[in-house]
Formats: sequence, structure tokens, C-alpha cells
Amino acid sequence: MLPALDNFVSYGTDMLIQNPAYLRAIVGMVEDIFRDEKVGGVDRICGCKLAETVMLNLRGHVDQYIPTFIELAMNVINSGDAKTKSYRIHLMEMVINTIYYNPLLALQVLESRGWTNKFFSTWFSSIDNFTRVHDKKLSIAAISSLLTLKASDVPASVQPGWPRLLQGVTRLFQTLPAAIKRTLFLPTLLEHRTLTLHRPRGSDQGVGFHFR
Amino acid sequence: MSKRQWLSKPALSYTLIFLEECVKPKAMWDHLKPHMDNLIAHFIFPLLCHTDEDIELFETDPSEYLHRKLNYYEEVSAPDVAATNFLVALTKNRKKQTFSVLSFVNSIVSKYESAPDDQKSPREKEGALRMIGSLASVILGKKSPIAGDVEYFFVRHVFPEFRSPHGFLRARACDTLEKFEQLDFKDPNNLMIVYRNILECMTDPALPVRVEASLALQPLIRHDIIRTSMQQNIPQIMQQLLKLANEVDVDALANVMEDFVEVFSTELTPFAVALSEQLRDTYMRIVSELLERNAAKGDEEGYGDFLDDKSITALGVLQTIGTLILTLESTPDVLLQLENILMPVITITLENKLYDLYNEIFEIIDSCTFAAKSISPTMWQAFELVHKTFKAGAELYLEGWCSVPSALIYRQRIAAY
Repeated sequence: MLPALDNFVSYGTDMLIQNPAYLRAIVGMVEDIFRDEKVGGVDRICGCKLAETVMLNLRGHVDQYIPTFIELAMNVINSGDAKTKSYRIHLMEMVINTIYYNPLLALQVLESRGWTNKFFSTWFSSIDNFTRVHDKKLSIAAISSLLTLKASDVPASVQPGWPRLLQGVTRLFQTLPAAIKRTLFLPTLLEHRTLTLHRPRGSDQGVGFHFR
Repeated sequence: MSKRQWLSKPALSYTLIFLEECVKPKAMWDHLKPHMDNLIAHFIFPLLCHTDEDIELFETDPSEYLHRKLNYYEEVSAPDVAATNFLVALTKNRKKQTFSVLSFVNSIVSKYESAPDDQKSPREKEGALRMIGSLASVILGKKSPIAGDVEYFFVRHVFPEFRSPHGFLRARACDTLEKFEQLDFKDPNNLMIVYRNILECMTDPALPVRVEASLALQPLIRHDIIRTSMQQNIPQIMQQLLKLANEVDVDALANVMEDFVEVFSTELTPFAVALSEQLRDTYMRIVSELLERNAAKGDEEGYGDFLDDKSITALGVLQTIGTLILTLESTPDVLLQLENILMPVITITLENKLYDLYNEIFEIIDSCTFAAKSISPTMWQAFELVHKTFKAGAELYLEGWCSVPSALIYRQRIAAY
């Protein structure tokens, strides 16, 4: 179902902007995934991915849902319920996506809930777990957008730690080529993907997702 | 020892399973070996031949006949299955025995060949072909000294039965060909004879012959000469397969169709619209029957025993549709037509909560939207349905979402960074 929903978001962007009910339906599904107790961690990753698709495709059109996305992810991160590394990374990336979407807005939401410090320390202490090409690119993009903020817009609570952004982004850039190389060496996995997916659609970085 | 005492089917089966276990240990084999010829001729062989009941079934209830022949594994204690297993174990472990089995087969088919028409026993011939068919993997094995003789055997003893007056023998000829799918014919003329006969059998008056011929055609496409010839006939062949799929629920037929749609995508594109209409009709028919039956059973049974012949066939049809869509990525206008044609398929499945078919339905929606790179009004209708479905019980089919790596999500988005 997720690939289908993803297509609706990526190829139906205009309609989603024109028809808020459709957009609300998509976001509602993300919420349901997180609120339904019967949905386990692995499936909740789908919710993270759906939220990511929404934010990447509808830049500037989903401001009102940014608090929701941050809350859904941070509630799980704060509770310590995320048992697997993969799930934790996806939760963090849900927040990282909000930063990339609109750093000012994201920081305001984090700050108003008192989560800023918690989030940044979680992010940077696990920076080496961002192993896939996509993980690295997304974090680099988010850090870059943070660096464009005016000093006055940076919350006081995280200002002492601000230089760590540069350390983090350096680390990500250093390890990016190796990650790209890894994905290029995956023709065998590609075959596997074609089998399970039934769709011979050429190679791309997403294949790295198998590695988790 | 022939038929002097009645034994129940389970008794026969377990006797055979015991004998099968006696083949390998030397101490047991020493006792078994002297009786082998006798056992093969008077115990194994009769079990492999059709009973009166089988022959009657072939005429009176061909779909039940097919079901029994194709889904034999469903029957736990079928003596004929045990007999086949015994033969395979015997010929794998005691290579020399292969020759005694084959010379026995040979004696039967030669007797059939030389006997005047009124004295031929088609039942024995059919049993002999079944016997040799069950040994196909051994006979065509790597070191098999007789692999080279198989083609001649086919020419002499299998080819004529494509036109046998006995339907079950025609069906067996097709089945034997399928069993020996690994056989590489040396004479291309023989391959063409096979092809022509299989095509003819696909229009046979007897349903089991048509089905067996269709199943035998699938592995044949590995031969270039047959694949090339099929390029001209593939629309008609697909018609026949679709017609068959509407006559009998044999899930293997859907596999054949799916395979052909993939291999002959170029030839089939002009027929994609008609093809998907027929696939839709087939699907709608199967699903309506499913729903009717479920309604008749009442609610207490729930969805428990859902995956039977019918749902598996429905699943196969959906997979064929999915494959068809993937071949149409370069023709968005055809795709758009397909979406409209397939909407009832999506609707009936989601509205009736046919959970077992959800994954294929989502895949169809995914393929349509991905191939078109835009969302048509029809697909937005589908979206509303998906949303409704989701709201009605998300936890039940979230599972599997993530098994599909969302590779493409990121491929498209990377450009945004």
C-alpha cells in the first residue's frame, strides 16, 4: 500500500494542494499508524516514510501539519519505546525532515515543547548510524538549512552546541562517498528486489534500504 | 500377487512408503531386489493406470478430473502418488533399476503399437507414459546414458497420442511433454511437430486436454523456434487461455498467462485493452462466485478458509493484470484506458474486504500511478477507496507495506536536495 500512497503524493501534488481533504486523509493515515496500538515498530516505519514523502513533495504547503509530525515522532523517541535502530533512525528522520522543510518552524515547535536539546543530542550522538546514502543526504540538507538561520533565530538552549553542526556535516560528507560506493555494488540485491517487487525499474540508491 | 486381496488406499500407500524406505539400506534392498520386476509389473503399474472411475470422470466431470490430477498432493494417502515416489526413489538410488522400469514401459508401449486397433489397451499405454513421465528428471539427469534416446521415444510413442481417439491419452501425451520440458530436441522439425500438436490440443473438445496442452506450452517457449512462431499466434493463444480460465479454476493457467504477457509484451500491447477487459471479466466472475459462496456459508466461518482454488486463481489473474500494466509503461494513453477498465476490480476487492487479494490490488494501483507518472481522476477514486479501506482496519494489512522497499521514493526526491 505504501508505494501506491507514495505515488499519490509524488504525482498528485497539485491535487493534494487543491483538495485539502485528500491531504488531510494522507496525514490522517500517518497519525493512525502511530496511534493504533496494534501497529508495531516495523510498520510504523511506513508512517515515517509517508510523512517524509509528504514533506519532501509538498514544500511550503503543509506547515499546519509540521507540529503533528514532530509530536508523533518525538513522543516515541522520548518514551524510549523504539527498540530497533532502524525504527529510531526513521523517527529521527521524521523530525529532520521537518527541519529541512522549514527550519524556523521546526525549531519553534521543538522549542515550545522543550524538546530541542533532547532532539539534537539524540541526532548527533547517533550520527554514525545514518548509514544509507539517503540518511546522509537528508541530514546534510537539514544541517545546511539550519546553517542559513540568523543567529537570533537559533534558540539559546542549543546555541552552545551549534558548532557541532559543522562537525556533524563534515562527518557525513566524509562517509558519503563510501555509502554511495556501497549502493553501486548492489546489483545482486537489485535482482532480489526485482523478484519481490515485480518491477524491473533500474537501479537507484534506495536499494540501500535493504541493508538495515 | 495381482489383485488377490483388497487393500484400502491408506494401506496401499503406507505399504509403498515402507517399500520406498527399503530401497536405500543394503540389508533391506537385498530382500526387495529379487521381487522388483514383479512389483513393478503387478503392483506399481496397475496403480498408475486409470481406474474405471477416472475414465468415467474424464467424460462426466472433467474439472473434477483435472482437480484430482493436478492437485494430487492434497490427498495424503493416494496410492498412485506413493507409487510415483517409490519409482523416483528406486531409480535415483538404484540406477540399474531404471533400465528394468524402462524396459517394462517399452514392452507396454510396443505392445500397444503392434496390437490391432481393437486389441489396444489405451489404459495401459496411458499408465506407461505416466510411469516414464514420473522419471523424467532421472532420465534426463546429467550422467544418464539414455537421455539421448528420449527424442526417439517421443517420436515413436508420444507424438501419435496427440491424436489418439482417447481423450485421456491425448491429455497424457501433453503432460508427458511437460514432464520432459528439459528435453532438448535435436531435430527442429520435431519441435515444430510438438508445437503444432500442442496448439491443436489447445482447441481439443475435451477440457483436460486443453488444460494439459496449455500447461505444456509454457515451458516450450524456452526454444527460440517456438517462441518465434508464437509471436504471430500469441493473441489467439491468450484468447484460448482466457477462455479456459473461465471454464475451470486451475491456478496454473494464470501462471501461464502471466508468463506469456511478460515474454510477449511487444506483441500483446495492441491487444492490451481487450486483454485487460477479459481479465477483468474473469476476475469479476471468480470473485462473484467467491462472494456468493461466502455469503451462503454465513458469517461464522469468517475469512479463515479463504485461500482455496478460486482465490488462488483470482490472485493469479491479478498478477497477470499487474504484469500487463508493467509492460505498458511507455504507452500512457493505453494505461489510462486500462485504469478505467480495472476500476471495478479494485472496487469489488476493497469493498468486500478480500484481504488475501489486497497486496496485488495495491500493487496494481502502484503500477498504474507509477507508470503514468500522474494521477488520473479514476485513480483519485481509487485513492478514496484505499483511504476508506485503511480507516476500516489499518492494522490488518499494514503488514507487508515495508517489505516493499520504497526505493523509488528516494530516487525521485534526491533531485530536490
